[in-house]
Formats: sequence, C-alpha cells, structure tokens
Amino acid sequence: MRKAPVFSFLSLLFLLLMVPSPIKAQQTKIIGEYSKRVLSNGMTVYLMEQRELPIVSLNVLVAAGSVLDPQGREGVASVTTELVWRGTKVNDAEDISYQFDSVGASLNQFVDLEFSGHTVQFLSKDREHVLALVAECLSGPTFPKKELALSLKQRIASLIREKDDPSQLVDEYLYAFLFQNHAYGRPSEGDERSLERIGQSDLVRFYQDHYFPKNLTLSIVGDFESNDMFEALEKVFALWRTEGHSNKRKIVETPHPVEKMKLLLVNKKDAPEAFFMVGSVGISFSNPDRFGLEVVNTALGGKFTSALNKVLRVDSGLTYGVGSAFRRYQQPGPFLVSSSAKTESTVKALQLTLETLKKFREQGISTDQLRGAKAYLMGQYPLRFETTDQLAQVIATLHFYGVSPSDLNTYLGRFQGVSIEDTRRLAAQYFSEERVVIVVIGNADQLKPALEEVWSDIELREINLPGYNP
Amino acid sequence: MPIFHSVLLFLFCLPLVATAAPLQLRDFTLANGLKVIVEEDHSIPSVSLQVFYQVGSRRELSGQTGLAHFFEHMMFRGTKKYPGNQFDTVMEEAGGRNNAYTHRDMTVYLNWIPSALLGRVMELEADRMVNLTLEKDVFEAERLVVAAERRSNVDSDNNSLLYEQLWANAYVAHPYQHPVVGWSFDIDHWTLDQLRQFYHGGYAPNNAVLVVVGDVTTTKVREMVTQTFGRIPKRDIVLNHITPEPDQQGERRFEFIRETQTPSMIVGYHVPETKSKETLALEVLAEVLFTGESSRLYRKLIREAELATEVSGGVVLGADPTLFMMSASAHDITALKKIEVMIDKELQSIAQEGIASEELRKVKNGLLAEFYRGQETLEGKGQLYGLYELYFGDYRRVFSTPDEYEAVTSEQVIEVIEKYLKQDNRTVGILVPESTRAIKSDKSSKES
Repeated sequence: MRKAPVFSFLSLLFLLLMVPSPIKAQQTKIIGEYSKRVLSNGMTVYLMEQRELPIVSLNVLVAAGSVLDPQGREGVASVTTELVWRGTKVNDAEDISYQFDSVGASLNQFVDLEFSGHTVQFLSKDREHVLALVAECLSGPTFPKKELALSLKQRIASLIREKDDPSQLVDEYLYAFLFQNHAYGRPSEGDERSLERIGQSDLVRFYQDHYFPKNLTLSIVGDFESNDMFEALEKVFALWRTEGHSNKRKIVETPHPVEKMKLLLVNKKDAPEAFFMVGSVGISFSNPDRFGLEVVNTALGGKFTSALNKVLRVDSGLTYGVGSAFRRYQQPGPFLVSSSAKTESTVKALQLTLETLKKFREQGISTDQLRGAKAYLMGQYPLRFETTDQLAQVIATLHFYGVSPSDLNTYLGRFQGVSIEDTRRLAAQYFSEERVVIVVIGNADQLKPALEEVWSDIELREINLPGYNP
Repeated sequence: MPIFHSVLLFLFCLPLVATAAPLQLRDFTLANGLKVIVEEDHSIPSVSLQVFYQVGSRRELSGQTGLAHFFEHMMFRGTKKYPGNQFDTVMEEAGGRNNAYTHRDMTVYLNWIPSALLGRVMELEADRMVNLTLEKDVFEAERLVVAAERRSNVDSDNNSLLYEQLWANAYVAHPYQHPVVGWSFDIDHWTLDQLRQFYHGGYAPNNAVLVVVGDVTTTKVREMVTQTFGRIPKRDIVLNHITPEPDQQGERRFEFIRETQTPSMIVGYHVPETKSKETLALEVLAEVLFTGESSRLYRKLIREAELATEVSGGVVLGADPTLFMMSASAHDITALKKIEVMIDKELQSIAQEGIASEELRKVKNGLLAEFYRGQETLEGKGQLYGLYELYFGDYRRVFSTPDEYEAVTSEQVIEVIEKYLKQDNRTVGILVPESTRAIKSDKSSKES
C-alpha cells in the first residue's frame, strides 16, 4: 500500500462533525431528511430512510463512556458493552451469536471516553427477528460469570499480543503520559491490572446506572418506511420501562496544559522501527476555534500533501506515514502528531516534526495552503456520508454532542469564513514545539543516548510492564 | 496484520428474487485494448476512479522482489507534464484523494474525487501510464520510503513476519514465495534499469482495466477516455515467465523464534486458482470454520476449549494456484499443538458428516449480507467490478455468482477437504517465544 491511514476511527468521527460544504453547492443539505421521535418508554429514536440496498444499520449510543469506569477497574464500560450480548434470561451467548450469524447480521461495539455504543447491520427482510433480539439483549443482559471470565482472559491476551506490534500502542502511552492523573489518562479498554479486578457486580452496576431508555439514543438508517420502523421499534422496546436515575454526565475537570517538554521512551528491545507521537492539550468539542483548526490541521498533517508529510516522507524518505489530529471531548482532548522512523533517524524525525510545528506557530499557513486545505476537506466531505452505518453513527454522535442538522448548515458558512488571519492566530495559539510531550517506542539501547543528546527530561519504561502509566 | 484477500468479500448468495446488473452499468473497449467499466450512481457528487493493472509481484524474479510495489510508489513521482509530486498536489488541491495497493497478481490505483475533477484525473492517470520520468534522485528517495514501509508494516510485527515466512516456505519455485513489499536486501539493490523494464513490459492500455463509478454519465466518460487513454498505443506485453509450483509431496513445518509473549501458528494448504470451480466450496468451508462467533472454530477453540485467543482463515485471491490459510494465537505453546489436533479433527468431522442444510443456509445468508455491504460505497462497487474482470474475465459475473453460490452443496465441500486440506499438502509455521526456548535449553543443560 502506498499510504497508511492517517486517522484512527474515533478521530475520523470527530472530523465528520466538522464538515464544510462541497465546492459547488449542488446539495444544500449535508445529510438527507431524517425524523426524530420518542418511544413510549422515553428512548429517543432517529430514523433515516435509505432504500438503495436492502440493508439496515442500527446504532445505539449510551451516554456513558470509559471516564465512568471505577478507579482501578478501567475497562468496565468496555466489558459491559461487550457482555450485553452474551446472555439474557431467554438466550445464552451461543444462542445469541447463532441467531445473529444465521441471518448474516453483523454486530460491533465501541467505547469512547464519554460514550459507548452498539452497531448492528442486517438485511431489511430480517428486521423482526433482529430487532427482537436487540431489544432483548439491551433490556435484560445477565452478565454470566463465565462470559466475564472468558472476555477478560481474551482481552488480557490481546493486550499482551499488542505489545508485539507497537504501532497500536503509542496512542495509549501518549494519553497516559499527557493526561497523567486526569480522567482522560486512564486506558479506555483497561490494562492487564485493571481488567483482573473487574467482577460481575461492576458490570451490573454500570449497566444499572447507565442503560435505561432515556439515556440511550437509537439511530437507524436504511431500507424501511419510517412510520413502519418506528412501530416495529415501539413493539420490541415497549416493555423496557426502567426509569433510571437522571443521569448527570460526569464532571471532568479541564486538563492541565503541558508546562515543559518531557519525553517517555518505551523500550522494545528488537524494534527495527521507532514509533512516536508528539502531543499537547488541544480543544474541547464545542470550542468555536474548531472550524479554523480543522483547516489548519489539514494543511499541517491531514492529507498526503500536508506540510508534515512533505518534510518527513516526500522530501526526506524518513517515514512511511505521518499525520496530525485534534481529538475533542467535553473537555479538551489531545492534539497529536503521529509517525515512525528507523531507529537511527528517530531524533532527526522528531526534530523535523518540532521544527514544522514551530514554523506553523511563527508563520501560520500561506494563502495557497489555506485554499488547498479547504478544497481538500470539501471534496472529500461527501464520502463521510455514504454508508448506512456512517450515517447512523454520525446522527447518534451529533445528538450526543448537542448538534442538530440545522447547526451543521451554519457550520458551512463558518468554515468557509475561516480567514488567513484566523489561521495565523490559531496556529500561534495552539501549536508549540516546546510545550509538548513526546512518546517513543523502540530500541532504548540505541535510542536513549541519541535522545539524551538533545533532550533532558527523559523517562524510561519497559514495554512488557503492564499498563501504560509508570 | 495481513488480511486474507479472500474472494469471500466478492461472492454472495442471491436473495429469493434474482439480482440483475444495474441498468446504469456499461462497458466498452478501446481499440488499444483498454477495457472500461462505467456505472452511473448519483447518490453523492463524487466519483471513484480505479485503474487495475494486470501485473504484480508474481512477475518478479528472485533478486528483484518488491519491484512491482516499488513501481506503484514511483507512479506518484512525476511525469514530464506533471513533474515532482504534482499528481498528488493537483489532485488534493482540487478536493481529490488517492491511494494504491500492490498484490501478487495486480496493482490497483484508486481515486476518490469530486465529479468535476473527472476529466483532469483521467488525464493524470493516462499520462502516468506511459510518461513517468523515473529520475535517479527520486528513485533513491522513494527507495527509502519503501524501506521504511517494510520496517513499520512488516519487520515491526511478528505476525506479519510469520505470514511472510509461510508463503516463502509454501512455495519453493513459484514467485508467490516473494513478499510483495520485497526482501530488505532486494529493496536496497533495485536498479533504475530493472524499473524501466518493468514499466515498459507491463504498463499498457491492453494490460489494464479502468473502472468509473459515481456521479458521471457514460457518454461523458467515453468522451474523456477517448481523449486521454485513447491516444496511447497498444503495446506488446513483455513479462517474466512464471515457474509453476510443483505439487507439494509432504508436510512442511518451520519454527520462527522471536521475542514475543504470544505464540501463534499459521497454516497454508495449496488450492486451485480463484477462477476454479472449486473456489466457491472452499469459500463456504472458510465461512463455516471461521466467520462469526457461532463458527465452528471460534466456538470450539476460543469459547469451549479456551485454547485460542484468536482464530481466522480464508482463501487467498490468486490468479495462479493459491493457499487456503488458517491462523491462531494461543496463551502458550502447548495450546498450539492441541489447536492443531482440534482443527484436523474438525476437518475430518466435516468430511465424514458433511454440513447440515441449516448451517449451509446460515453461511449463505452471511455471504449475501456481505455482498450488499460491499456495494454501499462507490469504491466498493468499483473494486467488485475490477476484481471480477481480472480474475474471471467478466465483471458481470458479479451478478450471476449468487446462483452458483446457492448451488454449492455439502458434497462439494467434503470433496475439497478430501482433495486439498490434507497434511501432505500443507505448510505449518509456529511463532515460538524466545523465552520458551531458553527454558527448554536450561532444562536440557541441567539434565546432561
């Protein structure tokens, strides 16, 4: 392959919420019509018809994510989402998976810091069967102990296996190092230590606290007639009447910005390539600077012809791929630059990265870069709303962050209105070559002396130690 | 992690009502041999434009491995008309994005563009089909990028290395033994002459298929294609011969000792090329064994016996005789031996009892659902048409394959197990943790 994917799924999801209008305003609507309704049990449902193919995508978003994991038992939210599908009073885990598999339905779960969710994709002809099963599992999971034991065993094995492939882990180490004791510094899926402490009662508690109709959003997109589908949902969910206590979103404090640069070196003995990330504290979801920063970030490291890619790949061949992104939550999330390089070239690659950040901070972007970044975002934008699954997820997430479709339409104008002066101010405010943390995973025997020639505040850690926090 | 380029993605079963090809799907062939497939789809104001070249790593000689993939990179590094990295800058500044991938049998170039950019991108693609400048300094710079790609995607990941070793062991003569990215040594030693030879021998309109899916009209596409690709003359295709793989006459096993905490195994059985009639039965078998949590091996190895932490498998896409693969990760090395025994037992059990109609139905429903999912994007549809054209010589077979799938029987699945999934026909690789070896040698030195 020529290019590695630049963004993780979750950062792409945030990118989706930043959408500008296409160059030619052929469509005034960003996404098509959809309706918002409420079931008799209080669950909000969004329905969008898309009838090109006989499939349906359903997305259930729970307003509770990993920041709500009990201290020391990180991973509870994630395990709960998984085990919702592993047994009810009527069906055990094998029955459930057999029933979904037998109609070719595909099931996925995800956990983010602030929300978690379930996606189910199925053929429209199987609607009755699938919806009944979905409702049964969401409303009455039993969290069998043997399923919990199996899940934890697999998760721990998976974490151990991931340590063989460090490219997957830099993210985790970065979050822990950047956010330290802040809620965002705790691993979303837990680590080897926290997972072992999770018991059935943790799952039951999490479920009782957060899984009730008024705390869930169900979005459904695909081959159906809306009233019809609403009736079908009403029918299967009617008996789920749990009130739940009114859910207060956890108050997460604002993370501290980085005061001075520090570096974490994670030793992976035989690594031929060092994977690294540079991070700082960025912006929250609702920050009005997000439009301009999306443009600036595209120019910096959000496309193949970005400034970072030019410096680190095209001109020097130091790396196969580099990207940058802002991830936004209720509170400021990280700004990240992510890349890799041969061990011997790591210091150089890091220096070039920091120099590029410095250049952006001091000079901003050119009018050419501004035009190119806007054009790229606009041209690629329709592709974010192609599939039923993409649409179902975007609708659910918009709702979670309090964005309605008409808001999106005002964003277009705001995005187009980002001026060169705006970008200069933003780059000066949000990019720094000094107030950053750096994480490097690689061969410490060779890297440590090389890094020490340039930077002084270096912490060392072995990759095989459990978790990501010293 | 290497993915199985399984025809699984592209085979599916027909619903009760037969599926016909969309009315807006057409094709034409230019005088110079370029086949063009066009589907009008106005759901979003975008176009997926894809170019499939029938040349991949299987056309490389030993000592020059990785050349096809390297060449894919060089396709972005400049022509006379669009020097430097203008292919990328012109495209991205007009709102387009591109990527490419190299396979053993083909190299595929993908573009996601706003509809207005169609003419320009056609011009760019036609231009680089024949006019690359291939300069020395650029050649050297891009060599470093590919070396970096190998290091980050293969050398840094034990399972990618294990996969590479499996193919190198399963094929003793045929070029499928080469890693697509190339061996490190070869990456460092390619010459510009070898690259030019590769270019002129394999990149021509009569060795390519162009697929356009999206917000276009067939008339306009035909016009643009004629004006751009139409000007390129047909060429003699000169490619290295391919040594056929001799029949494997006995099991091959190898160990791959690495610093790891996760022992795993990988297996490859020799099976016919994708266009064989037996491929469908093999795909059904893969689905029965591996797909979904109710699949036989997931259930038995992961849930019931708790021996494996991961298990997967499938048939790999191949223009030449290819592999049916399996892989599993375990908690410890003794578990792997048990996993092997259990897999053999499961295969034997299917060979003896066949597959019940309910299970066959489940499998076919899964494939139907995947078929529809694959058509949700413009890119997905384009990929289906291009791959079918290359592997079956007929993209329209996408729409008639459902009938063939529906017709797959339990007996056919039994037959392919008996013919191909036998010990003598397989290669097995084990990723062994170095620490396991240390314990063993400690023990033996104490005992002596």
